[in-house]
Amino acid sequence: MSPEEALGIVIEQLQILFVFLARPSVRRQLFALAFIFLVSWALPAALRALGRRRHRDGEATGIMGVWQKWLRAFYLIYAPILALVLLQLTEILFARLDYPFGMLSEALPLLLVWLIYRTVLMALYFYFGATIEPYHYWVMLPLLLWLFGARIADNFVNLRVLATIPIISAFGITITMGNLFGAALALYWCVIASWVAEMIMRRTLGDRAIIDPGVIESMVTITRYVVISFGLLLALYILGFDLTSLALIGGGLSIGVGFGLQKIIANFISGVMLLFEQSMLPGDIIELNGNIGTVEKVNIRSTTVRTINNVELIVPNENFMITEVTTFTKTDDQIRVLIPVGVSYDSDPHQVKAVVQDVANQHPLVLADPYPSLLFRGFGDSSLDFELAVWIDQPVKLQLITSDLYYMIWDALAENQIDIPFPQRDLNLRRGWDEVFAR
Amino acid sequence: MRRYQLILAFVIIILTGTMTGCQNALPKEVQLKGNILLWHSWDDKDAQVLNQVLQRIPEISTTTNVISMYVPAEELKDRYITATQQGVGPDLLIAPNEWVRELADEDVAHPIAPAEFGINAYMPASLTALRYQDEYYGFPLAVFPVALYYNRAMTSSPPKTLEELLAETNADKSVALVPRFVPAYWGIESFGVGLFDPTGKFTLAESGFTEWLTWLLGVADSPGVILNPDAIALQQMYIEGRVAYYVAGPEELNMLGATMGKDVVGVVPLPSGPTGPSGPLLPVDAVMLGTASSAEQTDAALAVARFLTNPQQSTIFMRDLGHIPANQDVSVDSRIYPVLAGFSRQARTAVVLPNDLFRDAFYLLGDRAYANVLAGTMTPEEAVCDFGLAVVELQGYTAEQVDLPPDCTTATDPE
Repeated sequence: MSPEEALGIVIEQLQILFVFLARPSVRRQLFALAFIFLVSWALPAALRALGRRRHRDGEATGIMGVWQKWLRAFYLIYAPILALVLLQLTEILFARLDYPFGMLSEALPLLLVWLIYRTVLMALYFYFGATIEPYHYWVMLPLLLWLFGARIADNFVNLRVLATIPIISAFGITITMGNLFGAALALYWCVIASWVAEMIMRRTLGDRAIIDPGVIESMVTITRYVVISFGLLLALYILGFDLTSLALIGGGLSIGVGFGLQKIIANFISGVMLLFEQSMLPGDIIELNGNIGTVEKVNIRSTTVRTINNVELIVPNENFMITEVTTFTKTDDQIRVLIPVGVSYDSDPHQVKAVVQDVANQHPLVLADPYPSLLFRGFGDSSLDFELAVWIDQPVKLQLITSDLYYMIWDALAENQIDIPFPQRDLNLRRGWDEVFAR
Repeated sequence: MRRYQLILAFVIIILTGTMTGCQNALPKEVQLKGNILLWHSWDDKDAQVLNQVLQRIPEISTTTNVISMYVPAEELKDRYITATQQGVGPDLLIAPNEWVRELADEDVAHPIAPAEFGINAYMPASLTALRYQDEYYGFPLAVFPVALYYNRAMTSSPPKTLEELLAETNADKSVALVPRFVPAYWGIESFGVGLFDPTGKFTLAESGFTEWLTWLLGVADSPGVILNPDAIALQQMYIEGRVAYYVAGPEELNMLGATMGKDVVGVVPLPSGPTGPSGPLLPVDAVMLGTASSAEQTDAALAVARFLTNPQQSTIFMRDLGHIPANQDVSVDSRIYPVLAGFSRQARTAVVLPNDLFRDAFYLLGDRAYANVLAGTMTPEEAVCDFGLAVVELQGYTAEQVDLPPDCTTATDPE
């Protein structure tokens, strides 16, 4: 179809629209419908505003009646009910005046749908409160508008013909208005479906204590990508792309992609593997290149890690595959911290043990079980070498706890007059004494 | 947000109201300009030719444009009725005469005063086919009577009478016809006055139906006569040259000509009987006017309907599409259009049934009569009586409206 032919179709459909609008019977019915819609819409809104004012006054004086609360509860269905009543009255009037009213009759099922829609909405708001609002505006309202729009437009223009108008031709495929609209619709609903699925999964699985938040996050992420990928494929299919050809093209492109987008693909695959393998999940505390932080989110290309300095690191997923990563919380949140302590040879090792263990027990973040212990590591060059082994369950505070313990040990040793020696060296000169004394 | 929505709604109402007011205030000359919407179920070449003809509309009005819209045949009637009742139906509709009763009863077909036909001279039968309750509901465009196809390679002198047909046919040169009510109606008129008189009275007694069934029963076993309700099988036999004669309508002409060769296919009127010429039923395609149109659109639609059915356009439809014109002023010269001339001559003796019949049920009763006779379960007299009584019950005819054969009464009839 040439652009001129496409333009011709659009013009023709506009002409058909004008044919209809040139008819008094059509204009009369459209005017009546617009009037019904406006009145049924505006009147409850005005009454509600009035009711709110009275409600405020009533609350102040304590005269708010029960019936008023019920009236407010059913606010959402006033408009469709009023519209239905007005429509019936208008039909009777048109019949008496011998005016055609087929369009009004056609509006009846739509108004009934509107009433059902509002009733369902009312029930949802009643049970779930304001949390239902996103579903209202992103799922239910678009559905209703789509239904109404298609039904009304189909009366005036030939949607099937308009759908055949080509927009663009490429790769031997002609994308028509119908294809484009269908693909956009499919993509929109898949995105919405992924979002709804995410909400449902978070709500249903989030309450269960036995499921790790990281697992839930992974499942949500994977579900989102699967649904959106399905939506993309569906949209391409609707646009006329042959999916088997896409697979072949994909195979060919993979070679080029292997060179050109090597890093991105590597990160992508690493992300998928991380999600499936679950070797690292959101919430885990890890050490990567000397940085300790909490895994915030595992995305398909990169992972966000928040360090103890509250800095977010965006780490390409590939790094987790090729470098060694320490995780403190993979299977267990408890970690053991070793703090070296050296004391003078003049000290009593048993006293040292009692003092240092007592210090460890005083720290609120050091676990009592397993009990802190002071391990005697050996006789050093200038000191008796110990290692304090304590257990903590907040690995992210490792450095803080370590620092606290050093301070506390210093204070405790000083208080108990236990020296911490510095390294000493004895130098024996076999020759050269003469030169030294000569100076 | 809500405030903007209210403003938008107000704007819509004001605009709609303004349009209503402005339109009524326009001078009449301006109102006559405009677009006319035509719905049809013509596809492929038919639609192309129709659009070519519509492009000639400026010959009658430079300010009128006709938009044609194809609707699949199986959807056309229901969509037309629904749309017209809503006010968004077309101004013109090309439809068969069999829809007249339903469209008129639904008040979606505009009655046409005889004066509106202008100087066009339509076949009287084609006009009768569009008449219902003393009103006309369309401009006849084309007619589609069945006629006798013959294979020019097998015979050069087609029979003119049933006797000649019987004498000429044999196992090598046989005739194929479908023994059902509509395709075989032509024989009834060959043996009597037909099922209805001009006033609409059900004249079964003198109709010739009994005699026609008797004749069919008599020739059923003849090697030269093939009676079979499977129309497609008979058509195939004709295409393959296994039968020399074949009874069918002009809608098959293009296909048969393309398959067999135009020189091989010949058409003549069906053979006459003892009481007169054959009288097949006359299906008519008509241009009907919708009731959703404004007065100005109706005026324009009348002009376009007259234009589409005038001799010039009818000639184009005949030449390019093989449509048999309902306009008698069109010359179907047998030297130029030998096949179409056969149908045209047949149309002159074709008949129409009253539009107040419950057609589908009526045809089924007729089919049952043929089936009972040919199956040997009823004699022709019994089958015709059974048919007559069922029709009286179906249509609710009073005694004055029917003329049943003697001895044809119900068990509860006092006589």
